Formats: sequence, C-alpha cells, structure tokens
Amino acid sequence: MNSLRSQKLIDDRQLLMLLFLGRMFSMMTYSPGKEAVPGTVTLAAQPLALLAEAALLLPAFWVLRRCKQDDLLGAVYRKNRFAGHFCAVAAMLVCQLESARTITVQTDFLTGTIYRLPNRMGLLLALWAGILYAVWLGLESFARLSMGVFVVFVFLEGALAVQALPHIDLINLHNPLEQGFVPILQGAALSVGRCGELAAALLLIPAVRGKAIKQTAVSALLWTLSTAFVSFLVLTALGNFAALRSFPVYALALAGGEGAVFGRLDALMLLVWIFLAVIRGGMFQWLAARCVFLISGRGKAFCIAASGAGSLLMAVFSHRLGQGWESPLLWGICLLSVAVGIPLLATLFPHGGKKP
Amino acid sequence: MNHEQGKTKGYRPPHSPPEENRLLESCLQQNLDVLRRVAQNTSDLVIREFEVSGIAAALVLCEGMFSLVAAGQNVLAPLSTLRLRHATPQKLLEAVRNNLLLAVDQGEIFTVGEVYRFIMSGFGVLLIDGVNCGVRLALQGFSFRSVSEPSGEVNLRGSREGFTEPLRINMSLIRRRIKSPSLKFELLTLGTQSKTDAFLVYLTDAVSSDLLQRVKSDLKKVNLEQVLDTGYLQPFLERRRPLSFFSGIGITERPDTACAKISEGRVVLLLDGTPMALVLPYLFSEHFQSFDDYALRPYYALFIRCLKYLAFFMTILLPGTYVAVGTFHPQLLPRELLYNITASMQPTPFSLMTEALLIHFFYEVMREAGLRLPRPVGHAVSIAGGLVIGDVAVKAGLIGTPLVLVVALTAISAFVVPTLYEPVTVLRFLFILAGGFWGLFGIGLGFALVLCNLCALTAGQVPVTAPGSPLRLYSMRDMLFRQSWAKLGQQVMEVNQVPGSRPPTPKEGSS
Repeated sequence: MNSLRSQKLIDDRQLLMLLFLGRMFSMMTYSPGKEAVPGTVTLAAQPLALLAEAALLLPAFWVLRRCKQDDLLGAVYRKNRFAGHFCAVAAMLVCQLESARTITVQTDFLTGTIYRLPNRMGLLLALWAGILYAVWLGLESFARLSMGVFVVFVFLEGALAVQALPHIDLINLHNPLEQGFVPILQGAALSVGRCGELAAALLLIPAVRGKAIKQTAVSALLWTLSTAFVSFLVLTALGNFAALRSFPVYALALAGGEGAVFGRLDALMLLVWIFLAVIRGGMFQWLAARCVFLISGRGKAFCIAASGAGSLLMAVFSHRLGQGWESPLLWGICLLSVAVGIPLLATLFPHGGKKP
Repeated sequence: MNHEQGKTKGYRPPHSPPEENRLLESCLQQNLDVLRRVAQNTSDLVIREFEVSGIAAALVLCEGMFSLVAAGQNVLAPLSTLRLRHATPQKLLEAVRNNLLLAVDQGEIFTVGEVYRFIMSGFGVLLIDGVNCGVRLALQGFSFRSVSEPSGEVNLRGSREGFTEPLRINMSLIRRRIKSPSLKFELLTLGTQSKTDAFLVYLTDAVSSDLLQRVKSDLKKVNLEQVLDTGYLQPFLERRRPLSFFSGIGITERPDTACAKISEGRVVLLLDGTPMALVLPYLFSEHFQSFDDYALRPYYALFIRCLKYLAFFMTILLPGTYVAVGTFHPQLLPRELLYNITASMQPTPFSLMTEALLIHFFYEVMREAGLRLPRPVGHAVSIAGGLVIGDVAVKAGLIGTPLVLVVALTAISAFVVPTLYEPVTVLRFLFILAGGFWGLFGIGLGFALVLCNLCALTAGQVPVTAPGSPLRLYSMRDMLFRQSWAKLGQQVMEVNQVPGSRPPTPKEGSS
C-alpha cells in the first residue's frame, strides 16, 4: 500500500508532537551570537512571533475552509492542474530544503562540537540514509516515535532548568526596548522565518485525523513557551558566554559538569537531538516524497528516492552558499511560498482541472 | 527441501493422492486393500480381522498410537461376545451404533482419507463387510509428556501448569479456566503431508471479526508439507511489512496467560505436537509483563516492569555505548574510571570495538553450546567459558577487565526479558558496530531507527507500540503501571479498543 496517497495516517496529537519537536530541533540551534538582534530582544519577541505565525496561517485555513477540503495542494490541483504541479514542485523544494537543513545543522553540530576528527560526509550520509529509512517506514513510524521523544524532551528541559538554576543571574537580561520597538519586530520576523513547521503543518493536514488546526495552534503555543523558557535559561545562566558558543543550549547542558545533579546531560541532549533530527528530517522528507507522488504518480520507492536525492544534493552543496544557507531571507521565502503562495494560487484560478 | 521448492514461482504442494478421497466400498477386502495401498504397506498399520455373528469385520489401528487395554476391553471383547439373530451387516452396524458403547467418541466416516487420518491420530476404525462406511472409535493411548511447569515462563505465584504436546490436553487446560459458552475452539488441519491439527481459540463475544478473518485467511496461505511447530506458521501470520527484528505475535506455554489473552479479544493458536501457543496480536509492552504482575501488589509490579525495561535497554545499548564512549567520547567518563579503562586497555592488542565483538561472539558460542549439549556437559561448558572469559582472556591480554563486567551485565540483563532474546542478541552486535564506527551519534541514530521500525510495526491492524503510542491514558492503565484489580476489573480492555487499531482497508481485507 502506498502510504503517500491521501490517507488519514496520524492523529491530531501526533501532529502536535511532530510540529513541536521539529520546532525544538531548530530551537536547539539558537545562538544569540549569530542573531542580528540581541538575545533578550529575541526572548521578548516570542509573543509577537506567535501572533505573526497565527496571522500567517490564517489565509491558508481560510482557503481550505472555502474549498471545503483539507488538502491545500489538492485544492490547487482541483482548480488548475498546471498550477497544482507548480505548487507541488514549490512545496517539494521547500521540504527538501528543510530536510537538507536538518541534516546539515546536525552534521555541523556533530563535527563542530562533539567529534575531534570531523568526518562530515560520512555522518551526513548516515543521517540522510537513516531519515530515508524512517520515511520508507511511513509517516506513522516517526509520528508514533515522537510521543516518547516528547516525554524525554520535557524531562531534558526540566533537568536543564534544575541544572541551570544555581547559575541564573537576572543581571544578564537587558531591557529589550533599549533600541526601540523595531528590533523586537525584527526578532519576531527572524523567529517566524525559521519556523518551517508552519509549512509542514499546512501540508500535513490531509494526513491527519481529528482537529488538525486546533492542535497546530496548541503546538505553536507550546513551542513559543518552550523557546522562551530555554532562551531565558541560556541568557540568564550563560550570560555573555552564550554569545560565544555556536550551540549555547548544548553548552548549558555541559555547564553542570561531572558533579551535576543529573550527571552528564550533554550525552542525553545529544541523543535527544539525534532523535529530533530524524523526526524533523523525516517529516519534511515524507512531505517532499508526497509532493513527488502528486507530480509523478509513481510508486513509493521512486518518490522517496527522488526526493531524497534532491535533499542529499542540497545538503552536500549547502556549504557553497556559505552564510546564505543560514540566511533568514532564504527560509522566510520558503515559508511564505507555501503559507501564502499556494493559498493565493488556490484562490486565483477558476474551477477546472482535477486531482491526479 | 520445502524451502527450495517454495522458492519456485507458482509452486503448489503435492495434492493428496486421489485414492485418499475415494469413498469406502461395501466389500471389506477391497477397503483393506486400498488402505494397505494408501499406507504403502507401512509396518505400523495394524489390521485385526475377525467375525461377529458370522459377519467379517476388521479393526484398523496404528501401532503405538492406541491403548491396547482400551482396544481389547472396550472393542474386541464386546464384539467377540456379541450374538445377533439373523445377522446382517446393517444389523451389526446398528448394534455398534446404538447398543454397544465401544468408545466415548464414536462416529461414522466415509472416505479412505478419513480412515487414514483418524487411525494416525490414535483412533481405531471398525470396518464391516457389506457396509460402505467405517466407525471411528477413540482409543488414543500414545505416550506423551505430562503437564508440568513450563521452564521458560516460571512464575512465583499462580498455576504451575504448562501446555504439553497433545492438543486435546492443551484444549482442556484452557477450557477448565474459561467455562463460558462463548469460548470457541475452531479446528484446522495444516500441512499437506503432516496434516497437523490446530485449534484457533477465541471468545466469540470479544474477538474482532476483522482480526479473526485476517488470521484465518493467513492460515489458508500456509502451503507447507510439514507443520511441526508454531514457528512454521509465524511468518505467514506476521506478513512481514516492514522487515523487523520484532514480532507482533506472542508465544506462551502457560494456559493461564493464554486465557488472559483470550479474554482480551485475542486469538490463540494451539498446534498439535508443541506446547508453544501463538497469541495474536501481541503488543510490545506485553513482553515486559508476566502473570506474576497480576498476582503481586501493583507497586511491586511497577517496580518489576521498570526493571525489565531498563534491563532491555541496557542489554542492547550498554556494550555499544561503552565502545562509543571509550573510543570517541572519553570526556563523558569520570576521570578515575577513564584512567582505569585506559590502563586496562593498554596491554590489549585490539580496538575496543573488536574486543567487544570478540567477547560477545565467544559468549554467544558458549551459550549456544551450553544450551544444546546434555545438561552435565552444558554446565561444564558454562564453567569453562566463565573461566576463559573472566580470567584467562584478561590475563592473556585479549580483553580489558571493564569489558568483562559489561559482558556479564549485558548477558544477565538479556534473560530478564527472555521473549526478546533473539532481537536483543542481534541488535547488541549492531550497536557495537554503530558505536565503534560513529560513536554516540551511531548509537543515537541506530536507536532512533530501531524504535521507528518498532513503531511502524502492526500486529493485526494494532500498532505494537500501543497504548504508549498512539497514546490513550485509559489504555495505559496496564502498560507500565498496573492499576489494582478493583479498577482493572471494572471493564475488560479488549485489544481491538487499543488506540490506533483500525479496520483493514479493502485491499488488505481481500488479500
């Protein structure tokens, strides 16, 4: 049975877990030193980011309601076949980019922070192959896995908080409005721009049983709270040191050292991060494979291989882009093309065509 | 032979010889000739010919399968003293049918194949000249192992009875525990040559019809000549999609466990000749449950279950993690332990990964040898193995001392959940390789993929990871923490109510 066809494969709680954990993967790469705005401003911008995310999803939900269906790409296909293909290709590229970003970020973290002797390509290929295997097993496999990972992640956050508690110093927090309101807007835009999970939520809805929109909203609320919480811990416990580290959340886990209450949290964090990479990479890769299926109508193996090959190429050649790969502009455009572009096309075309 | 033939596309097992489907004739000698021909004059075919009131008759039996006492006292003695007036074959049949109580289980059969199958199951068949049917008489008297405590599923409390090889005894062990009229035993015959009897056991008011249909349709696809153990049937019932180390089918030797599973809407398959019953579907969490959990206090059951989960993860991950940490992440170890490990590794010629692979390989060889050898020799092998691994190998500088501790812990932990021994052993080697090549990243990625694989597995439309994931709190009442019987007994949790269970799609249903 081809699990890429439109079927209700997962329930709404699993959608919540997938989106939340996917976002948490990105959160763990948060580094105040690399941001255009100070860490305190990013922290203050989180509520605004949540509102912006909700605003971004509204047009798509409106279009789905108007079309009386739950499949955004299907809605475009029903209006116009060529537009459908165009949107599916765009969505596929976005998902492949997100999957490739997951792979490269994880590989960079491993080769930059964990291993003394970097073997980037070997690790990259292993992670890519692992993600493809998870996709081959189906969306249900890593959606079910996400439930357990969520429990471990919550434990990890709690342990991080307990470990960071003695080091928290509120003097490290600055007034976010020192430079006016514009940096906060900028921080919110940066936060939303990196939130590929919004695109994933829109594309996953056809595969979800139950109240997908409600759980997407709950997920957004959860990840905002979690991001704010971890950012607060990083900023207050590590202070200026956080800005010097590439992966300050990992540095926070290391901060306890051997004598910490929970021992070496860094090993647990490494393990959880790998799980998050498989879940996030798998989610986007599955969506990319589904887009290939919509375009080509071919079998599961072909769709996964084709979408996987694209992600691998993007991941391998990502370093050619240099800083561009990390650019919020790139990821912002990706998000807008799915969250705004596709709903726009769905409303522009008169009724015609049919779903492949 | 079976496998070789089975690989050929379009292979069909040989059909029963046409003579087996032949109806019995009125002529006794003709019937006996056909029987001898079908049995190819096998030495264990016993045909005792005699006359009853002048009418020729024969009792057909299989050597070693029937009770001599029962045959002599219950059949031959009454028949030899029977005197009929104006005897005809039909009158003799009527007398056997209505007046004589030759056996408790008695009935008429009409084909040569039936005669053959019944005598090979320990029945005697009475053939009368001039009657075109036979009378089957239950005279079973073959020797078998008595009901005893199953060695693989020992419990502190509860019954000491385990399944044994004869099917009817196993049937009675279940029936004694569930006296409900909704308990149904459905007889099947499997294996074109072995014609092994099997029973599908279920509660008609609890089992899901989809599950039952699925099991029956899977068993119809069993195209084997011999079915000697339930293990032969497992691949047909599993429909291995995806390929996995784990299974959605459970095995039990305990009738009380089988009854508990049946009452939860599962199907149990009993096969003649083996004490191992199959339970379908079987959730992953059930590997960590035992009958003792329900007899002991809930807090202790929780403790034991946590212990089992920890032991399971430890036995899979500990050697690989040790190799990964020792090779790639020594900073994770406390300084003193690191010095000790480094000191113990200095005289050894191999890498930590090679050491771990070697020592586990040796351990598995010794375990396998100890298992198959006669018991006294097996103990000697275990002692010699212990000495080799524990002392000589370290002194010879082949392995480091901490690794011995790791192997010992791993080996003992594997027996905490014996039903998962097979996947655990293979996964342990894979994780050693992953840890040796990629460190903690390899362990993490491998672990994630193993769990993904497990999550993708379904057993008869039920995800094996349920009720943990997909999650429903109500169904979790007997997963890690067992609620008290006062609450558990309020409503029986049937397996088709587990979250994530879904009816088969039309395509699956028709396959």
